Amino acid sequence: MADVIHNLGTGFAAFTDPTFVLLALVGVVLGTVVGVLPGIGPIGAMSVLLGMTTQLGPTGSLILFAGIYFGSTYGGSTTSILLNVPGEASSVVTALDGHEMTKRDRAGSALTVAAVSSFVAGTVAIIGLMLFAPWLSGVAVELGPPEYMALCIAGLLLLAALSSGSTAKAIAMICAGLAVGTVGIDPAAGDLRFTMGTTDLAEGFSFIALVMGVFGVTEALTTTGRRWRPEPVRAPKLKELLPTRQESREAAPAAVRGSVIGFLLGLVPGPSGVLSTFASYVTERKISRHPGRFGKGAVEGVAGPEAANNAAAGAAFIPLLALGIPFAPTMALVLAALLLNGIVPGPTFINDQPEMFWTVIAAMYIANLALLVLNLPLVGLFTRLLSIPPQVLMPMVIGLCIVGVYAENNSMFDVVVMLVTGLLGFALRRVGFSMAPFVLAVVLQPTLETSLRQTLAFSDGNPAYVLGRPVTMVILGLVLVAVALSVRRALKTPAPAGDD
Amino acid sequence: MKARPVGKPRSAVLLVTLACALVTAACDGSPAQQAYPARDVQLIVPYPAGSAIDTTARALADVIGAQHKLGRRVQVVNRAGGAGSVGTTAALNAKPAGYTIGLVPDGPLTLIPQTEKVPYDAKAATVLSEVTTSPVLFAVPGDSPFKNVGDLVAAAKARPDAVTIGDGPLNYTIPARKFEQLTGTRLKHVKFDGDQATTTALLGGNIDVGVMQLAGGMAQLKSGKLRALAIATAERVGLASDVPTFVEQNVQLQWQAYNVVVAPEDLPAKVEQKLSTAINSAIKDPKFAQTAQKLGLVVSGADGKAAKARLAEKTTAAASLLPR
Repeated sequence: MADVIHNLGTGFAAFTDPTFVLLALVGVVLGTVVGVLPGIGPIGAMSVLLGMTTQLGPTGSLILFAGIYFGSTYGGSTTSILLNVPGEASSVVTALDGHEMTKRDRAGSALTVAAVSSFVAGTVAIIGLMLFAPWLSGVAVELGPPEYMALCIAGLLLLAALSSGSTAKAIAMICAGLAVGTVGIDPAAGDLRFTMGTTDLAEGFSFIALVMGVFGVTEALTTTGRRWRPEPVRAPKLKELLPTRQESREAAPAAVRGSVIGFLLGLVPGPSGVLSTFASYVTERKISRHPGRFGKGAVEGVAGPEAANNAAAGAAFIPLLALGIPFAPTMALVLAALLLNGIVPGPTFINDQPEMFWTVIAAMYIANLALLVLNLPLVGLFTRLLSIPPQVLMPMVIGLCIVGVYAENNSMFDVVVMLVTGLLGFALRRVGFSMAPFVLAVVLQPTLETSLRQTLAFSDGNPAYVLGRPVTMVILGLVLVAVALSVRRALKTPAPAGDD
Repeated sequence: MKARPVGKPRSAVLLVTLACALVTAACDGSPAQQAYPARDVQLIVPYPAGSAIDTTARALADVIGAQHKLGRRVQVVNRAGGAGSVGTTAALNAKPAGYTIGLVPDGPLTLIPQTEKVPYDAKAATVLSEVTTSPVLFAVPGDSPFKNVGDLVAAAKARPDAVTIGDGPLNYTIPARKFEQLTGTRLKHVKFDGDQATTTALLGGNIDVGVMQLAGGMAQLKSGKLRALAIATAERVGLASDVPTFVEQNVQLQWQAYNVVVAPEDLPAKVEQKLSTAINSAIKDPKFAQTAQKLGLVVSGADGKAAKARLAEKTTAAASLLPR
């Protein structure tokens, strides 16, 4: 342990240079900005800055990228909470209760809870990374295609349980999401599917376009349709920006549970960060004494997923640093920044270059701290955004969505996709369909398909193969029990909609 | 804390300015009638930022900029998707003015046009230079019972269709099939989406053998977590001189991936000349070689003509082995 503290001290020693502290702040601000802007995410920001990494050196690049990475996860939540427009997939769940809190004038509290939960989770993840990195990375690769498949199936079921409306409608949206996800190049064999002969669809529907469509455009249309009563602009009192004692008491354990869930799932490749947010959300609802409050502005529904999301972001560094394998696109960019500086992370990285490893850890600490310090004072500013009349704000949201979606691929086709899905989403929402299951099913589809096909190839289609995989058995067993329980309950008491 | 309405319009202005900047950045200006190059050159990479080929492209663009032979900067633009065909389309169907070129792997030029309908004519493309070559190898987990190709062949003969091999994209499926053809074996194919997924599956012991590029497994091979059975080059590669070739082990398997710089057909000769000179001199720069080596890529520098001939050769070799 003394060793760890000594090493960490050496790691922090690099940051006595004020340049690095400045880079941390720049990174966090930039990350928050791209997180807030729809469409432009951390990947875009990092790609643009990748050209500068040789000038910044390995330490400088790492701290900048860590700042962007953590900043963007938080920035995405801001728009989720305030506008019901998640900046990225990992903030979709936050919107469920976060935006409800905003509707009940608790926006400041929701933002503060999100910021503090993210910080708690970031700290938990970094400590986990410090203590268990080499060991955990070994465990993570043991999981193979059958386990990913089981996780995806469990994820889809969680999704069905996630929405507060009708389960049948949620399942319909999940199926729609899975169907949309199959468009484009086949992940295993490389064949083009349902592309109608255009290269526009060769990579499938742009995920950003779909998210901005069903959230950004749909929300803008829905809000503008509502009658808006101008309220006198008033100064938000400090009390309104802080969570009440009751809220803090409910949020704190949720944040800790979310951190653990996020950290563990974050070690798995694929869309595990997203999976962890709804795993946390459903957990919170299941153990809550008032499950009925979820979907109506429950503070645990913000704290849990926000923590899970950030802890998963921290855990994603483990496979990169301990194995040299990036499990997420953002991690691939961090890897590129290191490679361009002549550093090759791999299984021997932590032993060969301990000072670099501890610098990364210190960079993550500083980025997390900078995020908290910068964002708490901004909560008040962000909430004032809400006093802009929707007739002004919403066209701006649509404009930003168009720019963001276009900028992702320089593709006008994606903009059309966004507008069409936005209109469809608007119509579907009016008849009570929830959009979160759709978007999240699109995220899970490629992993589900690839792992299912790989499992079938391993097993020659023989289901007995799964019996030899204990982890798969456990996950699928839990899924079966959960389904059986809810079917039994549904048969016993026809539960009222909104509480399942 | 008093809500001043001034704060809002100001942030709105900031957002709009940013939006405008992005739109301007995304649009091409009109081509000027000055000597080439009058503005920066876009280098399209058909894979996402952070991939090995993207890192190669950025290192190349850096060196071209530092050498000042082109007179303008080269900007890397990522157009991912469709196993590289989306970005290749963008590079080959651009205006042949030398302002849009692409650094592409050979797959979209040699393999994909044979199995899919693509909106570009791969054979007509202008090939400016071959930047790097990337040898394909068969890797096994460090503790695998297979010590050489012979062990693998013996195991596959004893249990046909039971030894699992992770392949995936066409550039891996084809050498895997050719190996079966040459050795008279049958393996169980499981498709993985590239080197990272294959590496993960190998480390976890979920597959017996993986087909990957040297670039995909460098760190793992060095640490001994993975072991290479054989590399599909004619002679041993300097970057991994301890890895024997297939040929040494009496299997005539040779297969490499190439990264080439391409431009649309009908590129004016003067422009082609200027670009090739700048690119080739950057490839020979020791700074570029250093990055390529770290990535596990072999620096090539073959000129456009030689590169085009190699691509044609590969296209023919692949024809009989492609899945139909």
